[in-house]
Amino acid sequence: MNDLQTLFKGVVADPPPPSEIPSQAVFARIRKVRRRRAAGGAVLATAAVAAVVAIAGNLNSTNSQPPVLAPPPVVQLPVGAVSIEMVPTVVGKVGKMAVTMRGTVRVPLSGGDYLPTDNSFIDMSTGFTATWGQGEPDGGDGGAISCEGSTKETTGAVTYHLDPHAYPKPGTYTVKFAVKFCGPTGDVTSTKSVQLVIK
Amino acid sequence: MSAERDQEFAEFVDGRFTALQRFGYLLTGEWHLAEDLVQTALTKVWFHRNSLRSANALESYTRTAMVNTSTQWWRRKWKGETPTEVLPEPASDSQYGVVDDRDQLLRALAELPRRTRATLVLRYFEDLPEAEIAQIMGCSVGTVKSNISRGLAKLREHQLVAGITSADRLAPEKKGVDHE
Repeated sequence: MNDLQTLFKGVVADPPPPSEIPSQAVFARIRKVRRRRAAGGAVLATAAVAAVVAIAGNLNSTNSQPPVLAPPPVVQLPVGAVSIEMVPTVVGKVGKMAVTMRGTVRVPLSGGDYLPTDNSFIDMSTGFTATWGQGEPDGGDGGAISCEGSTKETTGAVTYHLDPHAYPKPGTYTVKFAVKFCGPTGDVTSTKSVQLVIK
Repeated sequence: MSAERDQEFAEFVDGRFTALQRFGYLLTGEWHLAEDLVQTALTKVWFHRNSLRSANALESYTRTAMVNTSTQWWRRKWKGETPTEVLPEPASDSQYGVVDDRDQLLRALAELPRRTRATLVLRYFEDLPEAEIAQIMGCSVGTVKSNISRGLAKLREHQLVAGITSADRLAPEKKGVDHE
């Protein structure tokens, strides 16, 4: 039983049947992605209109100088630390949480190679934990990736949706989120917490 | 034309799903994750299908998407599990030797960096030449060789392959692989 190929084939000899018709499942995902992209486009369009209105409001005449809009607030976080925004929603006794992370981090390595940076920013993370103030925590890790030796930086943002959590009874719960990204000297943990009121 | 292409894509998905699911299982170690991985990769492929030069490229591109997705796949979810430094011993070691071997192979694979794991699977399960693996992995042939070398060395450290000293016994038909 030393032949690796034989072992591999033995391991996958009995795959379970797919949970649904594969092509239907894939096309359902494609439709979902399309809807998400369309929604993203609508948000961008709205933002563009708002920007035009704001700029137009600053023009006094055809000789007006370019408008000066207030610069956005600059929050300079160290490399590896990310800003976290948590937006909760409650449906009945089920809490949902959209967590937005943004910042500049070192790119982790896997097997000596840098992870590609053209995918989701969340792939740069080495792990997260989330506690809902009650019940089992949620979490994930980045697998066999390492910050050690990384000198390459990337800047990005992502919104990650935690798995919904069902509370057994009403109350005020503190939801804590901690995520790790690579910094110059290893993992950097960023945290945030919000309160969730379950009625 | 679009409906035709969708039909072709659907036929590809339904026809090749099980094979891709097997590949995905070796990349992830869990069947439900494998199914999720295949669906995720195929969704990505669909959005890039116009850039594919031929129908034959579809499967190759899908495997590339699966490898890239699995090596970057961050959402290795856990639910309150406690990691341990030492894996528990299997329940038996003789009567169910084949099952143990397979179980140990999965454990050994899980200990490998994801790109190393993917390289081994492409080499020894999919039986692909190093040049094609390099193309799928988006790296050089030299990196493929070193990943194979590192991966096999790790497997040899594992109890399952502790007695193996020659890489040829792992894959007798392969030559020219840079084993230690």
